[in-house]
Amino acid sequence: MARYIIRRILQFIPVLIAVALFTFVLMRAIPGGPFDFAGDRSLPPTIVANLEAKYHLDWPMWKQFLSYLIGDDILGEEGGSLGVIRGDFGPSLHFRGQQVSDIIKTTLPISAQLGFMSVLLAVLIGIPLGIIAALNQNSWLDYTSTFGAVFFLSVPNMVLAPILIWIFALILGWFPVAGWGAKPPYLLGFLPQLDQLNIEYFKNAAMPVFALGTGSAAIIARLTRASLLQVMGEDYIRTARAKGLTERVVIIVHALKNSLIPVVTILGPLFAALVTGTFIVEQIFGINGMGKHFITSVGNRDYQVITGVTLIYAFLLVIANLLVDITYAWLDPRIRYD
Amino acid sequence: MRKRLFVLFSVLIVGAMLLSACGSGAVETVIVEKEGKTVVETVIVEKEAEMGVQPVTLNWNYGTEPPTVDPSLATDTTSVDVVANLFVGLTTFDPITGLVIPELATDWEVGEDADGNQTYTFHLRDDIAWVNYNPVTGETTQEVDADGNPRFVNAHDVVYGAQRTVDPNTGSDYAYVTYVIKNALAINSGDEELTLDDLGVAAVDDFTVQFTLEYPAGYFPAIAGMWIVKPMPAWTIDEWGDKWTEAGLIVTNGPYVLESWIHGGELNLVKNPLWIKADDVQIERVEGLMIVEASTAFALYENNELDTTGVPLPEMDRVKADPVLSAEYFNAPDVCTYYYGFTNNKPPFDDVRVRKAFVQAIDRQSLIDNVLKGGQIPATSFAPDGIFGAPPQGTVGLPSDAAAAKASLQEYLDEKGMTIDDFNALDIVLMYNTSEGHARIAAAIQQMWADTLGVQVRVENQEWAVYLVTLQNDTPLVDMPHVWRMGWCADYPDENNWIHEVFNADEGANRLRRVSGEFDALTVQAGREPDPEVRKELYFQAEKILAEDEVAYAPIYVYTIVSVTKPWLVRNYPLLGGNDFFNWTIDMDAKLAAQGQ
Repeated sequence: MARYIIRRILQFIPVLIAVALFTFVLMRAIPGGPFDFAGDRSLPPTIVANLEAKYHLDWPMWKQFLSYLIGDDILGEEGGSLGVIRGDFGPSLHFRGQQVSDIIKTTLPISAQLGFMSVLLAVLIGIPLGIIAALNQNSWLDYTSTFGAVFFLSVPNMVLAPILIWIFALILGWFPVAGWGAKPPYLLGFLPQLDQLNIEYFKNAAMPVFALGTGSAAIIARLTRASLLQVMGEDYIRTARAKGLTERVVIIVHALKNSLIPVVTILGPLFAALVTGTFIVEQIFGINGMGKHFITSVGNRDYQVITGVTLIYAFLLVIANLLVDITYAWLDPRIRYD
Repeated sequence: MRKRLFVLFSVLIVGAMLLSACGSGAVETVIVEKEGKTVVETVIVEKEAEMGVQPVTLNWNYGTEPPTVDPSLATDTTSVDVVANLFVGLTTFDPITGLVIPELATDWEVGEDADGNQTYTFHLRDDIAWVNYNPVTGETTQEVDADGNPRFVNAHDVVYGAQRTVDPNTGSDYAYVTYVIKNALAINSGDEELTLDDLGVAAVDDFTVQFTLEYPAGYFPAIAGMWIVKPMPAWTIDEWGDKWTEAGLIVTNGPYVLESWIHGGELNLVKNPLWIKADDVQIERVEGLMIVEASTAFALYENNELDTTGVPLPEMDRVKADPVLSAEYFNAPDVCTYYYGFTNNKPPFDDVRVRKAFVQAIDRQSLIDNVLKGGQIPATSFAPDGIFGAPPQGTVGLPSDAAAAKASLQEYLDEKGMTIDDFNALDIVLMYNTSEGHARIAAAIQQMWADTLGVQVRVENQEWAVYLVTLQNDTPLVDMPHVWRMGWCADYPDENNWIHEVFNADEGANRLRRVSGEFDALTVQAGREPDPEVRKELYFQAEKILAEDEVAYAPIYVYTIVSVTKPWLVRNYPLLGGNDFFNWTIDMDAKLAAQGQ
């Protein structure tokens, strides 16, 4: 197992370099550079040249990429870049004077807190709902939970979020309209400070977590239901029943664990996607998360920010997938990695 | 066991979420004396007003993270707003008349140097302190120099600011506005024979600064009020580099100081007690959010969490119908013009009759009433009121006139021996940058052209940065749309910044691809002319030629700032835009009462 994990981690390196390279090349392939315009106006060539020189965009592409990857000192060039390998994601080209690492340090923890709670909510609602539906197949419980799942799956956050604000913040006044309870500096770099972790924190989180979590809960519920139904038809379940085990033990010990494999499979990417931030929910609830940077940095042609947040996302994705694979081995004894 | 802990933890979190939904009070742990014993109790308390004196606080939404608050680097309205509240300029603009008035400079005179170059000499006041806010102590203190003397803004700071903007290593987007200053263009272009000391700005003495210009520019006092030439603190910038604008490090000299700045989240200002007119500044604290979503900001406003905000288009009808909101609604003209450009050398728009037909077929008022709904002002010429040299509203340009439009197009068709179908076969393209608002406007105007002229226009859109590349005047003509949407806002309130910089075929952006002619000579002449009255007349002629004789573009409307403001906030709408918090006032008692505190 340990060897397997080490091998997988070593494989991450070329994957991440490829991701960085693709993002890097794709962004530069789009017409328009970060300094061609300021607001409504195009900038004169002299100004563009000054800015491109300042940020080394006048270097050949391969050199820019190496500078980004390994740093200017290794490359033997003048310039302050330490390279991604040493945790330097470079300066933002749009937010002048800000480092991409600082942007990530400020916004990723908020997205991560929101994303983690949403995944938790999704699992806590989705799995029990899926089990109930499967065990009561074709009963009113099944239909109700399936209806609920389809409903929350079909209502996009763009619609759900403003409705939540309207009902729960404006009419009932239970929750604040917008904002997030935790502010930098964070505890251990990503958790809310203890004095911020109060009822107000959860009040702020309630609506965005609900909006983000319910959609995923619906996916999980439907998967759990389908998978459990399939497992219940397997031979080994019949064997378990033939042994005279109670239905409870059959389901909890034998069926459930196996039926969770498809759920765990989607939890990996879901986790990575939610933890790195979601554009719409963060924007509507005015949350200073990382989600916005995936979208706005493209419009701004902020090369460094795009590559930085994409790398973070890719990194979390490969880690999450590794965890998923490890969980497989635990869920299904037939799976071994040695 | 571990599983149980996990379940317990989860239940606690969900429980907390549910609990939070049950009451509006806050759960607090309090220590109480009960029957002689001290016990700790958790109680739900209704939030009482904390009896301490609340500072007069403005709750504001910047709408976005300001990309910078460095005066040399600012380009967008958000950054410029913050800079304007933190830093003084040599001159500033009267909020009502829009005229240049003294700020750091008490007065100035025009002269000539030995080589016959025009000079502007500014005499500075000597009592504006450089200050720094300490976030730990919450104190604003005056900067001191190496010898322990308090620092006041002086001529050397102005010289440094201008040099820093022109320095190519600074990478200032707006450095091109300073090219009127002697040698600025050469230095900014990296001319190695020149140093920053060759820039046409010098401290005559500690409180007198002189600018030498490349060519005479009657509008220079307006440029002197712009953020890029504000005095800047050399010692702080040298010490901290790019980080100098962070809260705690930044050294400023304006009505407010930067209290805190969480990038992407909030930017808070507090009043500068050492500011020369501190007694006139009533708002002591500005809590600024960066809510991008207009509907969320509006919800915050309705919840009394913002004191003023913009009105999103979908809410417009409700706001106007609601008795409370309609009383809080206001629209103020903004110094921006929305227009459609024609590619003047692309057939059939190389013919003035076609351009004229397309301009006069636009029913601007109907567009404003039915699509824009924000009280925008129909524009028939380029620069709006408030810009020096702008023709009075409606005195220049072609009004909407369906009959004239039809006749004009017919004349063209007859001469070319074309039918309207032949004309439509030319596949005329109207392009805009991707946005819901521009799409609505394009659809409405497309319909007006179809109804009035019978022409079918194809509408396309491109993402902003791609769009700007498309519109560059070296794009092959075949890829250029015939008609394209663009807007212009004032950098400084002078026609030179408008028709000259945008449309002049020799010295301006010239996306219209016009051929240089009488108009172009006029705007050059007007920029160099010292007599204000003559300048006005020249610009009037220039606007007239462009809008009436050449009909080179279609001015559509002047933007408005559409907002709602709580009754306890008294704010102004400076003629030239911007938000000068130091001129606003708040009735804090009324505000707290409304918030239920």
